[in-house]
Amino acid sequence: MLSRDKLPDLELMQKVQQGEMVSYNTLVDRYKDRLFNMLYRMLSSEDEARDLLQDTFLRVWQHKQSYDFRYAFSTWIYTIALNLARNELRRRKKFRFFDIGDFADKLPSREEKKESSPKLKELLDHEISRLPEKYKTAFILRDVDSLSYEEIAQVLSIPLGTVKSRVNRARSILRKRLRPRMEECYELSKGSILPISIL
Amino acid sequence: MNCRKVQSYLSAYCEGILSSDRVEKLEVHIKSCKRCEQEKQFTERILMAARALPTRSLPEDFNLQLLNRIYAEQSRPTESYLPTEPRSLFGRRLGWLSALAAVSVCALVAVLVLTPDHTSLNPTESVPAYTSVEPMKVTHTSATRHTQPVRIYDDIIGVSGPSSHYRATSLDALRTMRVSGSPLESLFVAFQQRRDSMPAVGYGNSWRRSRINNANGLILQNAASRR
Repeated sequence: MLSRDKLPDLELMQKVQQGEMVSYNTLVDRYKDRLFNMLYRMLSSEDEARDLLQDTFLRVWQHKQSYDFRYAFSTWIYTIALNLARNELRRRKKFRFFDIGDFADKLPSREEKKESSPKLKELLDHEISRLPEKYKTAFILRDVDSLSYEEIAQVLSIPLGTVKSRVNRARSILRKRLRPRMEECYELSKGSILPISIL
Repeated sequence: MNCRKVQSYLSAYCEGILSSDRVEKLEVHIKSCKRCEQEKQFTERILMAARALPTRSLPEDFNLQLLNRIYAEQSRPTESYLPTEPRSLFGRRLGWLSALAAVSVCALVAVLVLTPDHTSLNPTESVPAYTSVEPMKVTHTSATRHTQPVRIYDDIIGVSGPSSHYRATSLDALRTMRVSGSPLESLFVAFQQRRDSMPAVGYGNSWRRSRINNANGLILQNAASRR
């Protein structure tokens, strides 16, 4: 018999529906980190991402009986988390509150700038947070979380073609914004692809 | 294949999901175009960097906190967890009816407010605002008494003065002055109605009331002089 860690999501979910908390805990362990990082990239706030992650898993537990086994569990849980994140972003648009700490966290200090220019990964992280919501969501799901286009279409309830065009658009925006930094590296490497670790 | 087309296919090319005939054309173009080759490399770097982005980790007690919250929510069910009864057809209908009633009341009020005062002596003449107009002394002859009612109305509105001079402002008092049935009577009734419809609060309203009382008084004065 397979241990719980190796059981597929659907089997675990069946056990969860019978009220088995251990299986639920296994599912939480399986998804919490990637969902947390996805929510963090969507909201740019660790505290809010943590709260929404808790809300997401709470909803999974509360609505376990309404889970439809025809769909993948990952799709379902991503849909819940993304809906919560979207609601939060919508709420933020309504009530725009700015905390000086938000900006202080995001912008590198003068000393940091002098010491070293940020790596491509850090710049990319920053640029992702600046993308328009629909492109950001598509890019994160596809290129960071590696969901298939079909899964993204299900999660976002949009046609497959729209997902592809959004991902493509997000990539071209990022390419455009990161071009100056990448051109520097390109000149340094004289056309050869540098390993990501030194960029 | 031109540069624009190549750049639109780069994303799919780097993921390896571009059809083989397009891959061939794209690679031919890239070999001869330095700019497109650069774009291809940029895209690849972005995709590689996206998969290796720094990750943040959750606190170790996240699962414990979550379970505590679940138990707390279960022991303290709120309204949202209770099964909600479906709304009855009657309830839904009542909602529509109340909305309809509200709309009709608004429409009725709008009609009453916007339509010209029927008690006014000349329906085409709009009701003048209660602004300060110089009082005019009108000499009414028996011939002009009912032929120039609007002018009289204007004069009444423009009158200012202490309202204490005109106390007999009831309809009965007016009738005793034998103006019953005349246009003046209907004008007086209109004034009474307008006054009664006004709320009794606020400086502006009391000021308006005094102006209307003055006007009513003048009606009586005119009626008395004619008598």
